[in-house]
Amino acid sequence: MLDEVETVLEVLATELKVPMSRVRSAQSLRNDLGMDSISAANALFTLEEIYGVELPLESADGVDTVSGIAAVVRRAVERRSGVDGARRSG
Amino acid sequence: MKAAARVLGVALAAGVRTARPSEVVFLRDAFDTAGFARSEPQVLIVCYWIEDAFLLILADYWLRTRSQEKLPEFQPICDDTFGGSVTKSLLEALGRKAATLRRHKSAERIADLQQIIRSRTSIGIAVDGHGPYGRVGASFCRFAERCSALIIPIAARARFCLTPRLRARIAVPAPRIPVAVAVAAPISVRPGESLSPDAVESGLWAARRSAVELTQAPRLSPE
Repeated sequence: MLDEVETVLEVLATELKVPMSRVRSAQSLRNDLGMDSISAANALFTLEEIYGVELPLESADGVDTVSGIAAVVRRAVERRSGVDGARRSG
Repeated sequence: MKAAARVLGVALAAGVRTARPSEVVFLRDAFDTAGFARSEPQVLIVCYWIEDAFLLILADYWLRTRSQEKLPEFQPICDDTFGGSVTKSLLEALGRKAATLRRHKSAERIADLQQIIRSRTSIGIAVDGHGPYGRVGASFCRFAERCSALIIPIAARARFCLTPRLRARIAVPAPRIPVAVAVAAPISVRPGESLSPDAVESGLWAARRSAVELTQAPRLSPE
């Protein structure tokens, strides 16, 4: 999970044009970082490009925080790994 | 609230359908240029000031039902506030599909934006929907950059308008007053290019000036 958190911090800092040290994992995107939804959507697309996964937000609870987004990324990466593993063993 | 918005939207639609005939003039030169540019698969974002939104809905309906002319094909974006819900209901009652951008929960709004960007659907959006009015926000520009969109600034004007005291600034044409719609030169945002709010604002004001000129043309005088 640590890797995902680091990457999310980096992507958000880039999107917000602030030093990475100012972004912390427990922060709320909106309330603490002042991030609007378009910036957040942009950050998610950047993460999709980095990890090569689609980030589904149908159950959108928790994606309002840095750690919440990292968890969504982690789940998407694990899901893809599971599918890839099943394909290889199949 | 949803039921009330729906009832109001349907009632407004009935009013639009039964309104006495009014001329709608569509200055389409720039749109023809835009249509030509769309030989490349670029997402179309039709943008307008919120003040023009109701006039555009009327003009769109009247053009579709009474004229060979048509506005560009796009799906207007409405939020889930009361005004947005009324507008969505009105559009749907008039035969235009609209998309919803949920406003209150930021996570849901992000998901809606993701969906819109992924679908690469041509959309219509009021760029100053929640104020400050007459200004284009940087977030709209970033959205257009992300979509690598072709932006069509569009404006609608009527010679005489009522401006009801609503939370959003909306112009409603007086009965039997012709409405003019004008499109400014399209703005193409290529991948990796940046878009400035000033460029979009200039396009919108240019479209507005054209629409105002059309409403002042002698042949558009009320009977």
